[in-house]
Amino acid sequence: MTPDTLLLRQIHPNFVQEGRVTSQAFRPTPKDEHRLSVDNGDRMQAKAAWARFTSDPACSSVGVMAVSQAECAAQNLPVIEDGSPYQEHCSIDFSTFEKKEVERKAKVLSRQAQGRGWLFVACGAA
Amino acid sequence: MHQDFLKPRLDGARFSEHSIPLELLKDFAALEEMLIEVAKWKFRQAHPDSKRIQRNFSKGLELHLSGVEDGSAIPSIVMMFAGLSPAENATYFEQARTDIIDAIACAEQGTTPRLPANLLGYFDRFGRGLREGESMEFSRPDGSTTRLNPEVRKSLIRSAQVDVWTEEVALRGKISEADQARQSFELELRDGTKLKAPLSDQHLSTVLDAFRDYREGAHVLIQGVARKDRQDRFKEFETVEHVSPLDSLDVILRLEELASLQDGWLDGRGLAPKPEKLRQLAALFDANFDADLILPHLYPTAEGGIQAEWSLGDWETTLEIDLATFKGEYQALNLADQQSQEHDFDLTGVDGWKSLNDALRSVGGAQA
Repeated sequence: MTPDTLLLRQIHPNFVQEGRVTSQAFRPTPKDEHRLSVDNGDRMQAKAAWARFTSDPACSSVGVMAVSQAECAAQNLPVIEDGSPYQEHCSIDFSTFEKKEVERKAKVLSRQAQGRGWLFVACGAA
Repeated sequence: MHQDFLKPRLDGARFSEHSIPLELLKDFAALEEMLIEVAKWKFRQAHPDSKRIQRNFSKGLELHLSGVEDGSAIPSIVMMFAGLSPAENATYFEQARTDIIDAIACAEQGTTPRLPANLLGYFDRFGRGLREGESMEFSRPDGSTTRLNPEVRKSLIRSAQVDVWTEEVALRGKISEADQARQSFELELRDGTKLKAPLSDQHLSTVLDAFRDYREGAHVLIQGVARKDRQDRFKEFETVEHVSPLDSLDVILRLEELASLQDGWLDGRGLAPKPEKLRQLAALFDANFDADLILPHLYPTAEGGIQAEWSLGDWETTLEIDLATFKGEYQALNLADQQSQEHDFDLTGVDGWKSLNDALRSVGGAQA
């Protein structure tokens, strides 16, 4: 992984309104054990990441956005190449920060991801 | 000459300035019609052998609004009459007044009103202008009081055994059809229900614009009178007073949309926000969010709440609302200099909303 590596994030349809994505999409929910799931963009295309994610009927995504490893590092957020549950899987680790700090970092990542734009948009979505 | 006839006390936020919205005068006009018909019924009861009601039964008798007294708002309704004393038939009007108030009391107490069903049908128009949380309080001869409110009115209409009744409504939807030849259009509600409505010249361009942009998701707000059936389902619009195009970020529309979420909405996790809480939030927002401020984007949270967000230049601003307590956690972050503002707002009261409005204004939340 390099600083330019893009970390692919699936965007839930309810996290988009009028084309704008909520900053919640870039922070873990309380049940995520402080880790945000992403895919390593050096090893997987956005479309393939979306196809894998939505092959589980319980999972929904309107498309893929991304933040870079460097952007995470600038926020003091370690990126863990955990390779689980599949090889390309990574986690952005928010565990050392309290809630308000997590929200601040999510705002920064969200703005950066939206500035980059959609890497993949599902047909008829977003 | 005139004499005092009726002084109902109007209760609700709209009457707190000791004034009465003009639109509620329609209700009192309907009450006058109802009084005449109930008075005729009383006359027939008193004269069972009389086959006809005398011509000009109510001639010389009129109800006028002579003023508005303090006490929330109390319209002072007087009976006007020619000459020095009321006409003989005035006594039937007084009996009618008592019977109408008795009918309201019966409905309030859950018993069957004694007025005939056809006369109870006047409650379709009398009381229609009252909104949730508003009421008209009437004094009874024994010193007690009774209240007409939207729930009591519904009960009276059920007793009237009408198949269709009307309600003043403000409904959001898309215009799926417009027929200029027939001067009508259809409003499509979120649940797919389509309501036919009359199309008048003053609403023509707004309706046609929304019809043209149907596929782009253009929504309008229609205010008017809609017919409902006995199952409380909307059937059609009787009259349309206002047609207003809605902002694509209309808060009430978005909260209506989020009310359809089910538990598990977030890939098997995620609590759904409770619809009644969303309605409460919509009402609070409508009443307290300053009109000059930029509308937020609204999203559900995994915990069953709502998060409002504003992107305002360098500022990224969020308000996470706990729907159980209506507490809002506000955070504004300036991405250029990392300056941050954080507050907790109590959104159950006007002070909390005022603080929110001020906080948003301070980070450029007012529309240019």
